Amino acid sequence: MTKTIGLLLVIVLLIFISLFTYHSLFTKKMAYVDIPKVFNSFEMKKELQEKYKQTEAGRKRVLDSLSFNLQTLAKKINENKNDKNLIAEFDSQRDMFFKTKKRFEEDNEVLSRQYDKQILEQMSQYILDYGKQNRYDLILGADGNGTLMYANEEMNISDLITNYINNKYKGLE
Amino acid sequence: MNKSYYILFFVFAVIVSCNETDKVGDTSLSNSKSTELHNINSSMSLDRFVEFVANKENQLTKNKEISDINFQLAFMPKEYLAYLELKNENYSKEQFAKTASHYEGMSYFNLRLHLLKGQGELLKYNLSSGQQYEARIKYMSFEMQKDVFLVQGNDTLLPGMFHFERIFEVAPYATVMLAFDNAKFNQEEEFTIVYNDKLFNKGFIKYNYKNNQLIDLPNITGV
Repeated sequence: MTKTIGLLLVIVLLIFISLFTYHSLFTKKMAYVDIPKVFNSFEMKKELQEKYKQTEAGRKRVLDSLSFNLQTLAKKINENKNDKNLIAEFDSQRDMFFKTKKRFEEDNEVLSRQYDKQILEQMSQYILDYGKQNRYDLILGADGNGTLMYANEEMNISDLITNYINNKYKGLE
Repeated sequence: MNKSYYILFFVFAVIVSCNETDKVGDTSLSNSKSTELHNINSSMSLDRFVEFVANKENQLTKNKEISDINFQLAFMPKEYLAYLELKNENYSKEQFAKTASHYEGMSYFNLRLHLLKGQGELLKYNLSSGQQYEARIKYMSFEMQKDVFLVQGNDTLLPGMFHFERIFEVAPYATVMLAFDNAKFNQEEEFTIVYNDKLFNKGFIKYNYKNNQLIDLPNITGV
């Protein structure tokens, strides 16, 4: 009787080992992340967005000041329509205003691109680190553009990834 | 027969424990490495202490890889600096203590930027022009110190000492040594050292140090 039970247990054990080996060798560990959600929750993105807003606001203040000077000059010209010096100064300041405005717009564009590159580079690196650390075979990125048409919600690791990349960015991991 | 039961139980336990690690969702913080220092309050020889400081597991040396560059920040206790200064000499215990005391009052860190792949000089990596190389050297020598700072609560502290270790050979790394005035921040409280990388445009690289992490170091028994 005991021999039969023993044999049965060994058989069960062999089945179990076979299933485990099959699972380990042939089952791929996969998950997906909601990219816009992760991107918007990334602390670095929030920080740089704030920094960008401050820079943009500072430049806007400079332009507002130049614009105010132009309006003051325009008022003076209205009072002294024949004052050629005032007209020349107005032209000069108007040129400066438009040049500065164009330069600031270009600088804002460059800064925005630079920050986006930094954010995406660090975010991608940390997701890669997460994947390696947790032995994933594949992490898909869902960006709402049809790249990922369907996935079980259980495979959504956006919250875990967000937590991890924020800790990594802050130097806590 | 009893043996079979034991083997069966052992194999079952191994399988279950292996499976647990594969589950989706048991990750992030639960898997994060402990930031506690090992061997706190223990005593060790100077050689072991030097190894302890350099051992990444003890979190005094921290690494961050951002695509192609590794950014390493290493805290250098005064005893470690004294060791580096005296290691090629015969020195007495008093001499060692005196040398170490020269480093009191500041917290020293080594920041090393290291090219992960490929050979060649780090500062020549991905150059867009010949002038950029000179600009990078100038930046590391004079301007980079404004881009490294210590943040504690709402306070920001710039380094009191900053030195770019210029090496005149082809090396895939570049090192700067920096130090913060101990009187201007609380070593017992958590702080973050931030480097805003403008050399390779990686942005803010942060390293967090926990409460007392720079203080709770092992004692050195013999010098």
